[in-house]
Amino acid sequence: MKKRNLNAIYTAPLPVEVVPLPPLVPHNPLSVAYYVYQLVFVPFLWGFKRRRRFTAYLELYTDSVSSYVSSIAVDSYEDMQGLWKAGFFGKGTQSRSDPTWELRTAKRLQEASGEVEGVAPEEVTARRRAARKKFKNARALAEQGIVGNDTAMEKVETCEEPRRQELARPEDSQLRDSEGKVRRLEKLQLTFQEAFFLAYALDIIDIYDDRTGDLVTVPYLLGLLMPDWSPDNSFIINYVAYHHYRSHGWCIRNGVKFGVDYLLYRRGPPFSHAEFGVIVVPLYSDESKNQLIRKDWSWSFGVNRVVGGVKKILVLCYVEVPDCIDKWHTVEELLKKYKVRELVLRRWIPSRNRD
Amino acid sequence: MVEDDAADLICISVIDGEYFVFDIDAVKRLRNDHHIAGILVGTLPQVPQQSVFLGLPVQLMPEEAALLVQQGVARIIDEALSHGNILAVDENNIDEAAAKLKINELESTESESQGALASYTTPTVSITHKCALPESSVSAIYDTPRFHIYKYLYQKGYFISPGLRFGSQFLAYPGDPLRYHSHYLVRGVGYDEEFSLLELVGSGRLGTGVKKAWMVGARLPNDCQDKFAVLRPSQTKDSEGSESNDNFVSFCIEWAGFG
Repeated sequence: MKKRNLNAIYTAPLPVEVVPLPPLVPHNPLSVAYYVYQLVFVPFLWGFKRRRRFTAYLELYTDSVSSYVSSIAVDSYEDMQGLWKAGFFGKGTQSRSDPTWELRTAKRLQEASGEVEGVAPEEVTARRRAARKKFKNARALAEQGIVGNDTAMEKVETCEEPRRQELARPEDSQLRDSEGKVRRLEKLQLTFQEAFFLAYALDIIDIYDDRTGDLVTVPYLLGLLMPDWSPDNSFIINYVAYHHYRSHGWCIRNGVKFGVDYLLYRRGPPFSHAEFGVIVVPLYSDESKNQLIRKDWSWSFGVNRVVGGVKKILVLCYVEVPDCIDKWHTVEELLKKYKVRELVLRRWIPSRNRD
Repeated sequence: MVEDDAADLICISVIDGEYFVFDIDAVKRLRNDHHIAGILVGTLPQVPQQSVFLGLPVQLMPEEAALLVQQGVARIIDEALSHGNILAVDENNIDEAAAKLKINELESTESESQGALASYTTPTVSITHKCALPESSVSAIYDTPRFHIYKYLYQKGYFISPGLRFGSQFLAYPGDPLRYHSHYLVRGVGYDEEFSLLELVGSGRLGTGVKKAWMVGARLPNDCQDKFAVLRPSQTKDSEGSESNDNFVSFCIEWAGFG
């Protein structure tokens, strides 16, 4: 397998275009003029012309009492790729993480012709698992003393035919459009925190109401996401943590698969495994409320074992909850009321950590 | 007659809220007849400077002590009070107390072949009976989710040990822990009690990672016992002596790891 050049694919850490200012030489008037031009006019021109905006659709679920946001998703292929490749936002609804369903399906449908380029991470995993299984079989044979190590490996390789998947499926005929191309059925689903970060902090996404087609403004979006407007609303608590780590340059993604709230990647999932697992804990000034959400000792053992077992470090991210928040706050004023404190929790075994 | 029954009961000493068994015969009985292993917590006198191998006493979980008392197999002894009583007897009538101790010692040396062992096990046995606590000292936990799931699994014949190192309440072994690995990480919850999806994912993942299943269960409240009739395999209904198991519902979660 050819090693892809990750740096060429994932160039930007966030989906924003950045133009560095030219060096400023104060005693050179030309330099100053050019600097001012770059500082003032280029962003101005960009604002109208070249600034890339993404489009997402918000789906509401309405019961007798009120409306809730049920999902926020991006469905244009270019936007999906743009948001994934710069900042690793969202998750493909038919894929493990990045939206590769189309690639995988096209590949499956045209397996023989080999026209499709590229490798989906799901395939990498499948290959790795197959290789591991082969290795284990070989080891088992070797342990039984039937054959030596090398011959065991050979034997397994020869007896295990590269099993061809049953590639054709009954629904295949409906997967292609009239031109024979694979239909684009996959969407990129954003978590509420991701959507709000893109809309508020970066201001590069337009979110439309799926039914009415109206643009959802940032204050209205916030109202939809935290309808009760309580200081310890789970959306705002998690958003504070999300915003905090994004601001510090981390790539932060949902960590539900490891039983934590968030995972922190140094650059992003394709580059390296997540280094930290973050659990967000609201911290009240009223101690009796803290007691209500208190976790027990065995909980910390369990979480630490899961996170430690995948070679990550557990971070408890305490978000200090203000006593009251005003509905008329701007988002900035609202966020300023929250503070973040962190604690790293690690299992420490004296006999294993001595040297 | 009552005295004979009492002598047959296993003595569980409670010290500062923790439950211990000091009598090796009682420990054997617990393990062989009642499939309760407990945990050895005492330092070995011969090799005191290590903590890998431990000896008597055996510590029991509160659930184990409560279940034994509930089943009429054991009684709880207040160890602190018993020691006070010995001292009190000493002051008033030293001769009588000494004679009593002597008799006890002789009795137990008869049953033991080695005199050295007898000196460990003798003195307190009959005196401490005087400080037995009533069942109410443990019955407070009879109605907790932990106790419900403990009893449920116990009645199915599992050996059960504390589950702290795997982040659960209990570990359930299909047989003696010396022979078997545990099958389940056990978590008892109240019926209708909420637990987070993150816990479900984390525990399921942890369980599968150590080749066990995460088990969560609750006792059904009386008014919805029929609701889960479909979930229960039919044979549990006619199996003998498990009528209290019928109103329990449990699920096992494993991490499938698709994709």
